[in-house]
Amino acid sequence: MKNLSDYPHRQKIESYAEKYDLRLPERQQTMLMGELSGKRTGSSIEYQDRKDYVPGDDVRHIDWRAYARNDKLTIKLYREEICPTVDIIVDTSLSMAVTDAKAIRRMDLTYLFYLLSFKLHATVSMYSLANRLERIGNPFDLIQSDDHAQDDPIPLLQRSPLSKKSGIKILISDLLFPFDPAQLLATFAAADRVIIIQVLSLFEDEPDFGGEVRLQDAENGRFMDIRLDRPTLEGYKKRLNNIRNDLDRRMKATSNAFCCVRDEDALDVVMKKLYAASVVEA
Amino acid sequence: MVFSNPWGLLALISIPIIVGLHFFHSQRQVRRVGGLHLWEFAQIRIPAGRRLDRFTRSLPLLFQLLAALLASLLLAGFDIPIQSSNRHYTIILDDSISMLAGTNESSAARAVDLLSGIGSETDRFTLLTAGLRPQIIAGPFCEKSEMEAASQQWQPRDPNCDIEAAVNLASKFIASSDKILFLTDDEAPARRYTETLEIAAVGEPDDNIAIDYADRMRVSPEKDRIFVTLQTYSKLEQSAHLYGKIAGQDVFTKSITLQPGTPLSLHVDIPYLTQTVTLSTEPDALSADNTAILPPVLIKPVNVAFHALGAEQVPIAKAVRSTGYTEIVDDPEHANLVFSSDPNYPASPSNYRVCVLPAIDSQPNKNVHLAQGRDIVFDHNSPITESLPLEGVLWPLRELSAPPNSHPLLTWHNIPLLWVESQGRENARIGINLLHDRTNIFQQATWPILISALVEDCRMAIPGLSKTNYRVGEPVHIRLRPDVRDERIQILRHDDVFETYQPLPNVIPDLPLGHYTLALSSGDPLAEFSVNLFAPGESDLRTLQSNTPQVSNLVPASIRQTERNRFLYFSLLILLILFTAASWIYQDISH
Repeated sequence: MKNLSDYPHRQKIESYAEKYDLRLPERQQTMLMGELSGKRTGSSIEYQDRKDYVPGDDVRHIDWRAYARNDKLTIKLYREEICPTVDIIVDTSLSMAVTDAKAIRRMDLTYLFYLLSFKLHATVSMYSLANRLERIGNPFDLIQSDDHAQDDPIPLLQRSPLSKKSGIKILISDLLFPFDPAQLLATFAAADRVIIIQVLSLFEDEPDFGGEVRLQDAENGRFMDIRLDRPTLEGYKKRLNNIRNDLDRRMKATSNAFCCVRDEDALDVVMKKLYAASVVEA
Repeated sequence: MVFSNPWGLLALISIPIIVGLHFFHSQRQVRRVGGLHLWEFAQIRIPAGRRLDRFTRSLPLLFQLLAALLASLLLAGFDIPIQSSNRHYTIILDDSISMLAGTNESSAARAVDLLSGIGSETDRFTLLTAGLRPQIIAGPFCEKSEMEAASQQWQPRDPNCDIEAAVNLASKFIASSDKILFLTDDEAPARRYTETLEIAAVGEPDDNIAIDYADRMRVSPEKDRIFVTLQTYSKLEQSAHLYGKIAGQDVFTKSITLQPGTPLSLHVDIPYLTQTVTLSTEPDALSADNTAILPPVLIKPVNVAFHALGAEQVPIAKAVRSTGYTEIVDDPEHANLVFSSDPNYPASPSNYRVCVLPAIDSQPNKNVHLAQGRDIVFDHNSPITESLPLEGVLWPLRELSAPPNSHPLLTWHNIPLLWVESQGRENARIGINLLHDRTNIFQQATWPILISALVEDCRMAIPGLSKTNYRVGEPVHIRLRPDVRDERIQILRHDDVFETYQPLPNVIPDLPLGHYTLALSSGDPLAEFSVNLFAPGESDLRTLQSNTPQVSNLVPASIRQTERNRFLYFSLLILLILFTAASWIYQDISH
């Protein structure tokens, strides 16, 4: 896929972007004073609710009229206004194009999150992550750019300014490199919400019996001979699920979101998975 | 070239197929994945180095190729035969029925005993019987156990022994200088083959009374007559009894006195028209010739009809009436034999024979010739004309050609007088080129003989047995009626199933002594007949000799024998299994 015309899902993704919204974080630290109403109370003029005063509340929001009526101190609550920033980090290593479907699925997700971010009036930044972390202008730059071999992307992320930025971080990758989930999450410790989307080919997600095969690492071309028998398949799935479950558990504990999609899943299945993982909301 | 065997060549094709599959297999199985770290636990360990890697990867292929090659060799019949030298005995057994003679022990039993002392387990044998036709009953070049088993089952059954035919057959298994051992009870007939035969006579001379001949005729609608000829083969006058039995019950007994060298013929009339009569005399040295079984007389009446005949019908009808078991009927369609002057007479399936005489036309002298008896050529092999007297016969004829596919029986200067056209399996049309208004044949003996021959020819064509009493060795002609011809037919011998056929052949040769019944598989009987001995030459036991040579001194022929190399065969087989197993085991170990 080297031309925009080769990308088959553009219209479908745009229609999904109209139906869904990116789910916002429960708390924001550095997204205030924007055009978008947040879920928390804030300092906008839009009245939201009232509550009993407790020490520490801002005395400027005490409702003195209510105090005059019933001798009870209450606080007026106003909806906060936010201005989110979204950073979309797309894995552009060679492994993300082991199949054409996987490359297209990466493009689908990138374009979807790009559109959903704009729907939030967010400040969107996009990065390609391969042998280095580079900023790209829009999702379609991915189509014309070449993929590169990647060794270990986490040090690149740790060294980049992204690690110190707040806002929403969306990582689209197959995560098929050796990594520690805790270390990966620590990289985005300053973020308000982290969304990690794992994109796998069908064989990478659910390999089937197939006798002897020779596997080739897409990143470095190294070969490995294996036999796709029951013990091998069970061992592989166990290792893959261990990493997924660990990452998922940690993500949920910090109100972040993790979702895994296959390259051959239909788009509506992908959207259902994203919805189920609280990545998007209707 | 071992791979000239098509199976071997076919198996050889498996080698390029295996190589092709191997490369196809290895090329197809490369999968690109995002990373290998999750698979490392399952990596197939390869010891070291690229060259060793290739070699060890090729080992299962090498084993498979070797296994395929060995399988091809085995299928192609690859062999390095083992040559060995063995002694070979060629033995002929006298299969004539006199070998069954003997007071205490038969000659056949003595011959079998003698056989067991010949040669050793490592020798090879070819065992033949000399009867009406020679037969190999063990071998050629069989082991001793097989020869002994065959000799134990052997039972002499033929009415004579054709030594020459047996020697001719046995000579195919020996070198020109080797000798054949001939076991017989009568040395004399074999003496002229002493250059080829080593004769061992195992007979014992004895007195014997035999039924030389017996038959049964229908002499009136209520009575059958049995003709019997008996003879004693001894130097002295002998008294005996002839018993006639039906179903084991005596129906008559005759006391007889037999003079040496003089056959005694007698006849007995019996009223039992539908029952089988068994004739017997007292047991003696040879029991096979003491019995004759006579089934009921077979009568096949012939229905005769006339169609479009003129004055010639009278002499024809007269001659027909003079022939036994005929009946003149009015409806030609249901007749077996039809005389007609219409050359286009439409024969029905019941008309087994249609005889067509020419009609007398208005130009009596045109193309007419007169044949006389001495100028008429006749077919000696046809039962119609073989005994036809033609002397003094004036046979006027019209000049004509025989129809295509016809067989002439009488001709005069290549003009056919009498001919047969076959029409179907047993129906035929007989043409008679006879101008009956100016011949003298009706006043000659030739005419009733000719008509009688035509009637008998028709009778033979009617389905069923032609007779019920056969000699041993005489072929039994059987023509079944059309509706059962394709059925499964059993031949019962003394009420036991002897043979089963589907369909039954027209001729059954070499039936042994006995009483036979033809029956459908459902058990419905179709016909019965008997096979009796009636072989006076076999009944004369006075000339039998005993002249047993020391068979241990026999010098057998030495033969070079090639045998399949079983060691090589099993070695290849074991290697095939090992290579196949190694291919699998190596793949498993490498994983």
